[in-house]
Amino acid sequence: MNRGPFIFIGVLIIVSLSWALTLVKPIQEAGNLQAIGIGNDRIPARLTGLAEQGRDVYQEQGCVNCHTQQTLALVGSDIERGWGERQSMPLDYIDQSPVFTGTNRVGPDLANVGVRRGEANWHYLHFYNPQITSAGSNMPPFDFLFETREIVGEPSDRALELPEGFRPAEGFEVVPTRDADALVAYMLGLSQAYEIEEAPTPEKLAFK
Amino acid sequence: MNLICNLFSSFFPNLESDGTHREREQNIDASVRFAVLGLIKGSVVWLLVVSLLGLIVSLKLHSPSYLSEYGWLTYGKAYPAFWNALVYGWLFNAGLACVAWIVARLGGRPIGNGGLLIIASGAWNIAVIIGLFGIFKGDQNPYRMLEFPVYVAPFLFAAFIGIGLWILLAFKARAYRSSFASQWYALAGVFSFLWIFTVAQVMIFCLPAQGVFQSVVAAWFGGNLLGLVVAPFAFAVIYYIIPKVLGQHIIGYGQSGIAFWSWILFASCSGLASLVNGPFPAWVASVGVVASFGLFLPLSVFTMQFVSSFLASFSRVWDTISARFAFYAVVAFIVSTVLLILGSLRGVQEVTQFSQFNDGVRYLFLVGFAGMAFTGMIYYMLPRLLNKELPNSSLADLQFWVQGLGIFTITVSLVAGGYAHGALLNGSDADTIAILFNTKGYLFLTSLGSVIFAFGNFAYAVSFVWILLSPRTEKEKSADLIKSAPELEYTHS
Amino acid sequence: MQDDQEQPHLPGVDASKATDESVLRVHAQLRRQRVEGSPVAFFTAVAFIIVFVFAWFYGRRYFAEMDSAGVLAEREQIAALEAWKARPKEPAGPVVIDGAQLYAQQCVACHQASGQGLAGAFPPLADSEWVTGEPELPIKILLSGLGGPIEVKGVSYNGAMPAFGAVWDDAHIAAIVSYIRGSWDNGASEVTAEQVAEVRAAIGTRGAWTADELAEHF
Repeated sequence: MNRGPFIFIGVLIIVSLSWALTLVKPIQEAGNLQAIGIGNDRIPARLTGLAEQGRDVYQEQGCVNCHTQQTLALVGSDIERGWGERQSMPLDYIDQSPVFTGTNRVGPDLANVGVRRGEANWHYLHFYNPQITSAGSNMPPFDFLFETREIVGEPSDRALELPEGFRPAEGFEVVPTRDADALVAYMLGLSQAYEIEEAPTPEKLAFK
Repeated sequence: MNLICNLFSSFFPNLESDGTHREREQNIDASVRFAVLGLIKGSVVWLLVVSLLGLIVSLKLHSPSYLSEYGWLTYGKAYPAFWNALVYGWLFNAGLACVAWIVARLGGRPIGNGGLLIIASGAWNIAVIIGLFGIFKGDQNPYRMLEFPVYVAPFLFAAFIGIGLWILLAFKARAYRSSFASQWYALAGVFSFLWIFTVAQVMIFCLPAQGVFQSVVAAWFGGNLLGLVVAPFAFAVIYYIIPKVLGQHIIGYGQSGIAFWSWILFASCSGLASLVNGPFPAWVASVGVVASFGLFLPLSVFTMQFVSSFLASFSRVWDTISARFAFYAVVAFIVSTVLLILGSLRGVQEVTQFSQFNDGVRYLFLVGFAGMAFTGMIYYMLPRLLNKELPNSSLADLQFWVQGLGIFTITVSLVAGGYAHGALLNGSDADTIAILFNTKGYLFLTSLGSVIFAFGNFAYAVSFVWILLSPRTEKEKSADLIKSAPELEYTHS
Repeated sequence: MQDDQEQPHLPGVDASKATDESVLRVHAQLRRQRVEGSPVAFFTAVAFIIVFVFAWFYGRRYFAEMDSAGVLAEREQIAALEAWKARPKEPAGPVVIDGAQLYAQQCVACHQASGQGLAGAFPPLADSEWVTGEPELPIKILLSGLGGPIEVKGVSYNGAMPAFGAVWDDAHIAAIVSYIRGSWDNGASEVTAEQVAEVRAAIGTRGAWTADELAEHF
């Protein structure tokens, strides 16, 4: 161990082994999954247009630091909580780069948020100030994704209908920016509500 | 015995012609002074940034409206900024300063190429600053410890190549053919970073792997960054401080080869344990769990070596500021690695997988272990680099206790709070807001810890600026403060 | 060796207690020298065995199959999922055939969605005695078609109704006949696939009917 090359080669071999075994091998074997079906029946479902752009907003804002996008069926209470119907599978993520699987659940899992919260208005209010829809939440307000502007002439039909206490000053209205629209479209598009036969569910795992 | 002595004389050439021991040490210190001091300055500045960001992050978690008018500083941006500034800013600067100095000192000869180290470390810091701005601007990547925007990676890589090359050349230029564990770990850390950083950048961003495999690569990288880069630098420091400051050889040193190779082997896969139960190949996560458990082997060797060496001359630990930091680091290392091993088991991950538990373990490992070890080493290096005494050693004393308390508080609140959070999430039908309400006490405790830690860091900064700027006393101007060191006593144990 | 008593508590400079060269030399010596019965070596061996045993048992339990596409680790779970995939599929329930849809696909071009047909070309189905009378009549026409002059609701037509007996099975014929008998206020009874099967068996394979051949049903 007295020579640099010995340490270099030793470390290189060990780290390369780890790399080859745990990264290269699985990617070779299962890193080229193909979608099943085409069109509307395609699995996984594709995000389109605005929702696809919402992914960028999600990434910019670092949502992944508080929210995972993976439903676990093997342990935990994700299914009972209605965060999904089945285990998330690698197939669900093949269109995504980068992926937002996440490592922290300060807030709930979002893999199926479009299924569970299908109403756009809820999301707009929630992003503008989470206290409107989820009092007590520690999610920060994303009001900078909205524009508070003076009403000129007719009020905009896009203006948020804010409850008492959250409204802007009289004569002003709050309208979502394109980023907010994209983010909400993305939220509504987040869904793994299609059947994958290999995806474990509690019923399948209890099957005898 | 004669044979052995003859053998050793060839390993240890007589350097008397270069002057006395102390003169040689002074020459070495002078050759690295500017670059190493630069890295240390960088590390202290980064530590202040980290304290501020850490405080903001922990406050935001229980008071979401705090600073919420700044869109560039939401929790989602401050949190990755905090961790990246902590690792790439503070720990890399401090760790590389320590390692560069240790390699130079153990080499026994003054090191040239100072310009390379200065330019490379400057470039590194600029790249980290750009990376942080990238995160605030909204260019972050959603992978832990890889959040820096893609355009920063080449600069980080190039800068690290410069630093690594300097360390490699310094090692190559050594006077003694024999080498010490500190040098192995220094080299291992440098090699590993280049390797894992390349793998992560290529497999995630250049030739992206499909879907979830990007997360697998990121988990691999995150674990390796801790285990193969930061930890080896900290081991290098602890292996060096014990004999140098305590005059005590490492007890059970014969086992350090086993510890070294088994640590590299197991740490290189341990990060994958965080993938259990997710939409990832199950066996890859299982490899991670086994590897994490395997850390028990090097952990037990390190524990026996470090703890018994400290206990053998424990009275000196509390008298010497650097040994005291190193002792805290060793305890933090043992606790955090035990928590890491326990936290990787499937039964525990069922509760803690997505909670702050893992942040707590990571925090203790990075800050309590590596950070405290580097701080102790910096307190050992500063008087030698500057030929000044610490103007106020009680300030350093205060810093030790305050930082130590802060780290302890944060770790306890994150680990216990994370466990409570995970248990409530699994074991009850309370919604996330009700769970938050029930665990809010821990979040406040984290903020309290962050405040304490920030005070400790402030004391550190004051202490550092003080020794840096204080005018030299007559004694410091006229004479060498450092007494020539005695030979290490070889006692058969 | 410096005197410990002279050391102040937390001095401004931590004293060096060993030269770098002696650190290297002593530890190089320590690495070379074998210590018999060293407790550290013993505990290292114990730790090694513990790790090995853990890896062995853990591997037996969780490395069931190194299937990179699978997210399951435990053998029982993999077996359960395999059993589920191989489960006896439940027999398909009664298939409901939508007569309206069949009508829209095949009949609407001539007889129109209103069932009124096209004056002079295609006879109406709505309120037609050929549809609402005995159920065998429309079944026969659908199975084998109808050609030549025909009088419906007092108006004469001359056309060629195609045969559907070879295209549709009994259930489809029954669905479409039931649909036209039940729509446009026709209010006639539904027919079943069994009735169609009886008629089909009775008439066998034959060419298109003429109106006269079916006169017996009036």
